[in-house]
Amino acid sequence: MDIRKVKKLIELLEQSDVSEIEIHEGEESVRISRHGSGAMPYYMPQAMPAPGAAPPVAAGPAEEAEEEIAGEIVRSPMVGTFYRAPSPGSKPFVEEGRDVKAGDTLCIIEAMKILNQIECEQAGTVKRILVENGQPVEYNQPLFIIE
Amino acid sequence: MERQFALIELLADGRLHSGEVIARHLGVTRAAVWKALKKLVEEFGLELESERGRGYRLRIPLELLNGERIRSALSDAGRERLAALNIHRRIDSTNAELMRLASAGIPSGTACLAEQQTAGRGRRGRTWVSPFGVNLYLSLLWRYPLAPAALGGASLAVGAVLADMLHGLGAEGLALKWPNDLLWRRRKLAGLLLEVAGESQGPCHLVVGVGLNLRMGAGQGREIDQPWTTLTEVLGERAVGRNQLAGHLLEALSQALERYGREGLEPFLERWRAYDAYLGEPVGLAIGDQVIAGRHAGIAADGSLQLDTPTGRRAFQAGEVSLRPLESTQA
Repeated sequence: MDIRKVKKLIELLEQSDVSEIEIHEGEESVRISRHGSGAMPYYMPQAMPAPGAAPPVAAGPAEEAEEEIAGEIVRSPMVGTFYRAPSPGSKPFVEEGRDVKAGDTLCIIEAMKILNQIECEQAGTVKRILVENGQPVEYNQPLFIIE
Repeated sequence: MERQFALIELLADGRLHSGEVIARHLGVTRAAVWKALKKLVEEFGLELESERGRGYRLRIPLELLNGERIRSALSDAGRERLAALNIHRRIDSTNAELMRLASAGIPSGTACLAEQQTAGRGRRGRTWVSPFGVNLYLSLLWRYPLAPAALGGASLAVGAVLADMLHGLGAEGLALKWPNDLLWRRRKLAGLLLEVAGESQGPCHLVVGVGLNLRMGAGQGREIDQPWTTLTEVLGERAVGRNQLAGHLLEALSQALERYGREGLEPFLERWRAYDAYLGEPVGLAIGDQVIAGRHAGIAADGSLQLDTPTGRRAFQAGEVSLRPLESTQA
C-alpha cells in the first residue's frame, strides 16, 4: 500500500473521533487503531498469500493481536521541507527495515534555511517512512514509524 | 601538504620568486618546484603568473589566517564569548567539522575557519565554491537550552548582523534576500548556512556557517551558478584585512547568537527590514516542485516571508525566493 495513503489515514484518524479504521485494497489490508491516549499501535499489512493459495481465513481477534505492532511515531517538530539525505544524490540517512539507535539522524527538515537534523530519540527499527523526499511537511506531521 | 603550504607562505606576498629561490627555500630540486607549483593551481585553485626567466607570483596576494591577528580584532567581551578558535588549512566543510565536534561535546562559542574547503556546502547540498585563501569560510557553534524549532528566527538575525557589520566597514547598497542571502547590486556577496541538531524539546546546538567572498578571481569563481561579487569590489580602497574581518565577523555573530538566546528575533527585525531586497516586488517562491507567485510583503514577526497572492496574504517558512517578471504574477 502506498505510504502516502497510510499517512493520510493516520492523519484522518487523528482529526476524527474514529478509534479504528481498516482498509482493504486487493490482497493487502491495513488497520490503524487508536488504543489508550498516547501511543498509536500500528498494524502491518497482511502478508501476501502465495500465488494460487486459498484466500486467507478471516483472522480472529487473537491472531490480530499478534500482528499488532506498537510503533512509535516520529513527528515533525516544525513546518518545513523534508529531506531523507544530507544532500541530493547522497545516501539516505535511514531506510525502512534499518535498525536505529538514539541520537541517529533520521532526516533533515529545512525551515527558514536552517537544516534541522531530526534525531531518533529511542532505539528501534524503522518500520515506515511516511513522507517522500523533498516534500513540504506540517508541524506535528508523522514522519517515521519506529518500532 | 606541508611543502605546498611552505610554498604558499613564500608566495603569499604576491611578489615574483625565482624557481631557484623557491627550490632553496623548500630544499628541493627545480623539477620538484615545478610539480609543487602545478599542484597549487590544480589542488589549491590558486592563480599563478610566471615571468620568463624571473620567476612566479600569485596573481592575488594572500593574507593567510592567523589566530593571534583574529583575536586582536575582538573586544574583551568578544574574546570571552569565543571558547576556541580552530584554524584549518584545508577541511571538507567548517560547518560539517563543528557539527561533528558538537556531538563530541565541544563548548558553545567554538569557531572554525579554513583557508580552503574541499566540500563547501550551500543550501541543500549545493556546492559553496571555496578556493584557497581568497575568501572567508567561518563557522561558529552555539548551544541553546531551547527546542530546535525556536531557532528559526536566528537565520534572519545572523543575516541582519552580517549586513550591519559590513555596512559599518563602509559597504553601501547591501540587501538581504529572504531569509539571509547577502546581495550587493543583486549579486551574491555572502551566504549563510545554519544547521541545528538536538532533542525536540531542547537542548540543541546551532552551527552558523558564513561564506564571504573577499578577493576571489573570476577564474576561481567560474563554477558559481549565479551572479556574484566580492567585498574587495564593494569596498574598493577601503578594503579590510582578512584576519581583521574574521575578527569583526566573530564579534558580531557571537554577540547576536547570545542575544538571540535571551530575546529571540525581535531586536533584529527592524535591522533585517532595513535591508529587505525585494519588498513590494513580484517574486516567485519555489517550494519543492511548486512555485508560488505573489508580491513580496516583507517579513512577519517570526521571520517568515509574507506574500500577497491572489488568495490573500500568506506566510511561508520554507522555499526559495526569486524575482519574477511582473506579468507572470497575474497567471
